[in-house]
Amino acid sequence: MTAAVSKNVKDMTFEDFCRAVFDTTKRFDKPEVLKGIRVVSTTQYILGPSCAAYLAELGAETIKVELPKRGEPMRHTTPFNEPFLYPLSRWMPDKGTGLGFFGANPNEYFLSLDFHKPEAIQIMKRLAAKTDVFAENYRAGTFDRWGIGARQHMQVNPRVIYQWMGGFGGWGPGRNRASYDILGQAQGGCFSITGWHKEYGGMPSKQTIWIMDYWGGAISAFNILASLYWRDNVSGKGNFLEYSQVHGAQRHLTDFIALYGKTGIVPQRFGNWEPLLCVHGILKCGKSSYPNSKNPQEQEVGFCLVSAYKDEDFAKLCKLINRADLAKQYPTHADRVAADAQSAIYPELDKWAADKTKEDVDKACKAAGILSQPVLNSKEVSASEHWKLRGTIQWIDDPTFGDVQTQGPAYQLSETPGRIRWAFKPVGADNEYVLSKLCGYSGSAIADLEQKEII
Amino acid sequence: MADKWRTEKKRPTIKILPWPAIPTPTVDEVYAGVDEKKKEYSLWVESAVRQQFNADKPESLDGIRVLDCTANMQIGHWCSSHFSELGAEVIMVEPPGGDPTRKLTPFGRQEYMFQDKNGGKCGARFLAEARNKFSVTLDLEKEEGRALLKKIIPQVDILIENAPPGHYDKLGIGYRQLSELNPRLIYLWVGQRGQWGPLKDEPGNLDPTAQCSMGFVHGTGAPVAFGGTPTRSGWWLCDQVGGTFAAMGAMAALYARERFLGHGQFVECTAAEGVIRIIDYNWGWHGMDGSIRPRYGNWDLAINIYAVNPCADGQIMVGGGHDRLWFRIWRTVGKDRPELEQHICEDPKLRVVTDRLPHYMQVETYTTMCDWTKDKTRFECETALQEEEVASGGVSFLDEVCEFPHYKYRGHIMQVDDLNYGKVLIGASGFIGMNTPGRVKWIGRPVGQDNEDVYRRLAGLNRENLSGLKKGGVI
Amino acid sequence: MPFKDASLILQCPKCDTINYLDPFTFWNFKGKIKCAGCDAVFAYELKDGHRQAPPAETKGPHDKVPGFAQTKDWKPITTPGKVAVGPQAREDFQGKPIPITKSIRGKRVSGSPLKAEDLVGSVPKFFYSGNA
Repeated sequence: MTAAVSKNVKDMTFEDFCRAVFDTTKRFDKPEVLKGIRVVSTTQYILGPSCAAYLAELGAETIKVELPKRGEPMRHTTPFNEPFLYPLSRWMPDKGTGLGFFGANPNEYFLSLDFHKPEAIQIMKRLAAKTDVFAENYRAGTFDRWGIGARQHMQVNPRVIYQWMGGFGGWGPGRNRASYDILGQAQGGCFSITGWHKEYGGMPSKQTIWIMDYWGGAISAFNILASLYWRDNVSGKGNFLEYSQVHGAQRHLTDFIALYGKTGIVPQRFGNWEPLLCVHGILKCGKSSYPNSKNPQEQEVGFCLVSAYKDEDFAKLCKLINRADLAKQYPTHADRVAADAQSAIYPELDKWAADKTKEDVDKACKAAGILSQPVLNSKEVSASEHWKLRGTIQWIDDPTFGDVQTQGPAYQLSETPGRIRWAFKPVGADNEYVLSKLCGYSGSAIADLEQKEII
Repeated sequence: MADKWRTEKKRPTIKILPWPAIPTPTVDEVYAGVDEKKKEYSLWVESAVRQQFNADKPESLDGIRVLDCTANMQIGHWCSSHFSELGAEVIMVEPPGGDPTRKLTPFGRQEYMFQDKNGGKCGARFLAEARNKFSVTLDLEKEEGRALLKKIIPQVDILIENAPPGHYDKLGIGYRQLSELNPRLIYLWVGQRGQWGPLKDEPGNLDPTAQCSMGFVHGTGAPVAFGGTPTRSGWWLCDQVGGTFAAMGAMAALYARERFLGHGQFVECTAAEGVIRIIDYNWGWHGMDGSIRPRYGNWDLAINIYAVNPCADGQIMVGGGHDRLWFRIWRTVGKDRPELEQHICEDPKLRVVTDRLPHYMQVETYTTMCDWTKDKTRFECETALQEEEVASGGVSFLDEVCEFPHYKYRGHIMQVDDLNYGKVLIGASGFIGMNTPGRVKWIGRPVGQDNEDVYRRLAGLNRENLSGLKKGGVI
Repeated sequence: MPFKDASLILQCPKCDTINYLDPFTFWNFKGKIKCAGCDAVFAYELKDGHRQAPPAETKGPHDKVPGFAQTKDWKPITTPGKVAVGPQAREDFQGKPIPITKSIRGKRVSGSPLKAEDLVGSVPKFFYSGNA
C-alpha cells in the first residue's frame, strides 16, 4: 500500500472502509485461497456436494462425478415440480435440472461416469492420483471393494485428504441404515425442541432447511481446510476423515445434552419464545402487510421479533403498550424469564400487536428504542439492498442458464474472497475437459467412451 | 391450556439416571454374526478413527493462537470451538466479571447451572462452547485494557470480535489499527446481520434476530391451512451455522496466509448470511418466477415421500423419493393394511414420480400412510420399514438421543471429566478422522482463571502489574 | 367399501367420495366435517388419529373441510370451499414444469425444454453466441 492510499484508508469512515475492502465488484481481481488445489467429488444429494461446493467457492478445481445422462438424484427434485433449468444434459435437452440441486454445486466441473464399468474405475484411479481432496458418500466399503477407497487412495497418493460422508457412518450399530437429512433431524432431537408444545396445539417441527446436510458439509469443509493446512505446513501427510450426517444434531444440541446429563430434564418445545431470555420472542401481528396481494404468502398476517429483556428495555416496552402494570409485576429478569411468567406476558404483547402489521410493530418498537426484527419472506429478503451489496444474495450471468439469482459465499474475505462463477452445469458438461486434461484421453478415445456408455 | 406443568412451585422431582443408563454395546455385540469380509472394512475404519486413540495423535491446528473477544452471542464461541477442538490455543477474553451469557439458564433456574470447584456458576449454553478454551478478563473500554491487547496482538493469529459495527475501530483496536501492529493477524468480525450495509447490526441483537431477518422463520412450521404459524428454531441455529462459516472463512484466511499471501486479512461472517447460504433454493426460485417459498410443515415441497408424520407414540420420519423406495414403503404398509397399498398403487394420479409432488397428492399420500402409522409405535414403524431398506426413524427426545446405541458407540456423545466442573455430558467433536481427530479435553474455565498464566506468558506481566490491573478494573 | 373402518380416510356413506383427513389438521379433532362430494355434514371424532365412532350425519355448519378428496373412480376434487387450500408460492399453482424464458428481472434465462439442435456442447445456443 502506498502512503497516499494508506492515508486515505485511515481517513475513511468505518462503513466506507468496509464497503471498499469487501467490494463485491472487485472479487475477481483478487487471488483465490485454493487456487491449484484439486477436489474430486463423487457425491450426491446435499451432504457431500455442499462440502465440495464450499471448497469450489474458494477456488479449488472441483470435479463432480455423476452417473451418465441423468446425473444424480438431486437434479430431479424441485419445489412443486415447477422450476427447472435446461438442459439437464446434452443427451436429454428436453429435461431440466430441478432447483434442489441449487446451492450445492457452484463453480464445479461436471464429469459423467458409470462406475459399474471397469474402465470407469481406471479413470477414477487416474484422477485419484492427481487430487488433493477426494470426497465420496457411497455406502461405506463400496469404493474399497472397487479399489478406489481410502486405503487404496492413500497408498497411491499419501497426500490425499479422503473425506467420507454419509448417513450413519461406516462403523457402529447403525452403520447400514439409510439416511436422509430429516432423519438426522428426527433421530437427533431437533424436532423435539422446535415448534409449539402439544399443550398449545403444536407439533414437533422440522427446520425448513436441509441443515444436517448443509451444515455437515460445512463442518467437513472446515476439517478439510485444517487438514490441508496441517499437510502443507506441518506434516506433508494427507488424512482420512469420516463424517456421519446424524452427528450434526448432537453437536448442535450439546448444551441440551449437558442439561439432561446434569438434571435429567428433557427439553421441550417452547414455540416462538426463548427459555433463556424474556422478553425475546416473536409476536403475532394481527394484520397482513399486503392485504390486496394475490399471492397467498403475502396475504398472511405478519410476525415480528421483539427483544426487550433488560429491565430498562422491558419497562420501555410496557410503557409503549400502555401496560405499566406488567413492568411492576415483573420488575427483574428473574421474574420475567420463569416459564409461567412468559406464558402470561406474551399473550398481552400479542394483544397489542393484534391490530398492527409487522412494519407497524417494528416502527413503534424502534421509535421507543426497543430492538425488533420483522419476520421476512423470501421476496422481502430478495428485495433487500443489504444482502445484494454484501454479495450473499446475488444475480449472476450464468454461462449455461442465464440470469439467475443465487446465494453467494457466506463469509467475507478482504483479500482472497470466495466467488460464484456459475450456479452449476449440465450432466457431463465437462467430460472432454476433464478427460483430456487430467486422464490422458484423446478426442477419439473420448468419443469411444461415450459410445460405450462409460461416460 | 394446561397450567399444571408450567407452575414453578409444583415441579416434579426428576430421577437423574447415570450415563450411559444402558451400557454401550461392545465391538463383539455390534458385529456379531456379520460376514468376515463385510466387517473387515468397518473394523478397519474403526481402527483408524476410534476416539480412544485420540490422545496419541497430533492436532492439525497445534500452535495457532486465537483470541475470542466475543460476548453476548453464541456465534463467536461456536466459531472458536472449531479451532479449539482441533488443537489451537483459544483464549476467551471476557469483560471483568465474565461474559453475561454465563448467567443464562433456562427459565432462570439456578439449579440447572454448572458449578466449578469454588462455587462459581455457569449456564449450559455458555459452558458447552467453552470447550478446550482458556479464560482471561480484560476491559477493552479502558485505555490500559486496550494497551494490553495491543501488546499481545503480535503473538496472535486470529482475533474474533462481535462488538457493535465500528466500535473496535473507534477504540483504536479495529482491523485498520491492529493489522499495522501485526500484519499476519486474521481479524474476524461476527454478528447477526453485518458490521456494514443498510441493515447493519444494532447493539444487543441476539438470535433469533437473524432467523427472522432472512426467511428461516417464515419458512418453518406448519402452513396456515394446517393451523400453523411461522416458527423459530428451538435453538440458536443461525448463530451456529454462521459460526461454522465464520470458522471456515478464518481458516481459509489462515491457509492463504501461509500459502502465498504472507499476511492476514479482514474476515466477516454473520448468522443471517450463514443460513442464507444454505436455505436451499429460496433465491433461485424467487428469481425465476417470483415464487415466495411457503412453509410446508414437516412435508417437503420437492420430494414425496419425505416427511415426518404422527404415529401411535409420537412422530415418525419416512423417506424415499424415487420409485424403488415408494413401492417398498407401500409394500411395508400392505403387510398390515393391504387395502391401503392397493389404493395407492392403483391410483393413476400417483403413477409417475413427479406427479406425486403437488400438495393434494401429498395429502392423499400421507393421510393414507398415517392410517397405518397410527397403530404403530416409532420403533415398530422404523423396524418394519428398515426391513425394506427404507430410511425411517422416530422423532426422538433428548433422553432417547443420549441413550441411542449408535451415538454412544461412535462417541457422538461423551462425558467430559472436567477439572473444574466435574462430569459433564456433551455432544462431542464432529471432527472424526484418522490422523488429526478433534477432541474435547475440558469443558470450560471459571472466569479469568488463566489471567496470570496468559498475561505472564504473552505480556511479561509480573505479580505487581497484574494486581494493579485488577485494582483498576482492567482485568 | 375398503375404507369403511379407516380413521383418517372418510369414505362418505352417502356418495362414496373419499375424503382425506390430513394428519396435521385432524389427528386430534372433534367436530363437524363437510363431505367434498355431496356437502353432507358429519360429526366425527379422532383421538391420536383413531376414530372414536363411525361418522354420524348431522346438520351444519361444518368446522372443517377435508385436506383433499376424490371420487371413487379417482377423480380429484380440488374446488376451493370443498377442500382446504394448500400452501402456494404464487397466485397460480401448476404442479408441473413451468416453461419460462425470462427471469423476474426480464432477462433471458434457460427455463424451458430444449432440443439437441438448440445446443452447442452443453450450452444453449442463445447464450453461446452471445445472443441473449
